[in-house]
Amino acid sequence: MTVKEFITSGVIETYVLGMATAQEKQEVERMAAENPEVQAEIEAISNALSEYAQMHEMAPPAGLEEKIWKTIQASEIEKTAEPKIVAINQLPKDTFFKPWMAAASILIIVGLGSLNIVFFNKWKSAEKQVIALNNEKLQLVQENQIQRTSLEETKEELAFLSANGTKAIPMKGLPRHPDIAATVFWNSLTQQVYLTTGNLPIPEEGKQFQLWAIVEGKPVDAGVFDISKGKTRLQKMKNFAAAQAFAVTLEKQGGSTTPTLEAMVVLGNI
Amino acid sequence: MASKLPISEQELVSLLKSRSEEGYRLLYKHYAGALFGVVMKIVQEEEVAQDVLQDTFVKIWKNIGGYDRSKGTLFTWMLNVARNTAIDYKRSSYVRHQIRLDGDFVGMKNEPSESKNYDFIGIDKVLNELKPEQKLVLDALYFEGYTHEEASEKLNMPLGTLKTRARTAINQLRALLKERENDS
Repeated sequence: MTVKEFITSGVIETYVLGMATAQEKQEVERMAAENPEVQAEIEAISNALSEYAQMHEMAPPAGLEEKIWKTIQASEIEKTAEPKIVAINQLPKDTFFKPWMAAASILIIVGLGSLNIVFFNKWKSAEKQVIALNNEKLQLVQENQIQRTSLEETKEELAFLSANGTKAIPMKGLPRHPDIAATVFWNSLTQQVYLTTGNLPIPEEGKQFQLWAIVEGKPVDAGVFDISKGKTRLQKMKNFAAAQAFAVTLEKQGGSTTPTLEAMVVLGNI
Repeated sequence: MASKLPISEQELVSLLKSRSEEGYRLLYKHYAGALFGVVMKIVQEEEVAQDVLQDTFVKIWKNIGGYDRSKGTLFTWMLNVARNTAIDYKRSSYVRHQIRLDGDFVGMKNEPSESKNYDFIGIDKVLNELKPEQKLVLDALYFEGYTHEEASEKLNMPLGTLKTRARTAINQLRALLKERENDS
């Protein structure tokens, strides 16, 4: 963006009105530091708005000027009033309150005051620690939950793989993709079908792999599946009571009703 | 502004930093009206506006050391102080501020004054020529300190429209100011 385009983009007005996002703010301040024109534009807009504000001028009531001046002076005195403690020695001797009492009470007050500050700071930092620990705990609980679920799934998978009747059916790459392989696990007793995706690649956008069971010579849809890198989990597919072979084809997202035979990637006979 | 500052803004800032009464008097004389007008627009009640103006001047007095010329004019800086103070008052309960222990103030209230006149003195040609909806947007964003979400809700206007309107209003304002300058 050229400086001129930047100036006409409207972002400076937004900035001066305090409506800019953090990112816009940073951008405007950077541009202003680099370009005097941008800086001048910021000033021109601020000045126009200042003039706008000044058009709403209204006379404050008479007497307010003096009242404010007194308040200001009082606040100045407050600031310089601390050494007054010296006056204690000048207390009349015959008062019941002895100077040491006053001194002691001041010490007590000051002591209590500083204790308050100490306790307040301790309390603040303790509060922060509690919050941090709580967050940590929450995170650990969540992580634990994830681990547990994962362990449960692994147990189920292991049970399935070692169950009576489970067969591994390796599917080999067809001549066009000789290196690709995937495996179907099928249990003829429970009819369950699981799949590991082996080294099937991640398909292009809009495409999805689909598993087919060949039943009595005809391909029957066994479900679509996704490939996620680094995951070796078994994927549950549709159940089958009988099949002669399993095959994977690349189909459009969501799968097809009949397989595209030329897009067949792997095939395994039982 | 009521009249032109007899000294430069920089000199005024130096006077204020040296805690000179003259600095306060000049500051009040030249900016109190403008700041009071803005504060009134935000808090609407004159008694509250007086308290806000007092707080504003005390804050300006105490914090003048933190004013950075490179970040804008003195007035813009003071306007921000006034605006933030007014918004704080508006958002916290008024009741607290209505209990007045200050005898000085009570006496002042009984004085006959022109302060009941709510008209803004500076009715300006420029102000008349801005469209009502442009003034509405500027007032909401610039004076009343609404965030853009709040303003968008209050004015019942989508955020994009609000931003565009604000921009158009500023451009219109600048054009009118320029025209006025050329006329005089």
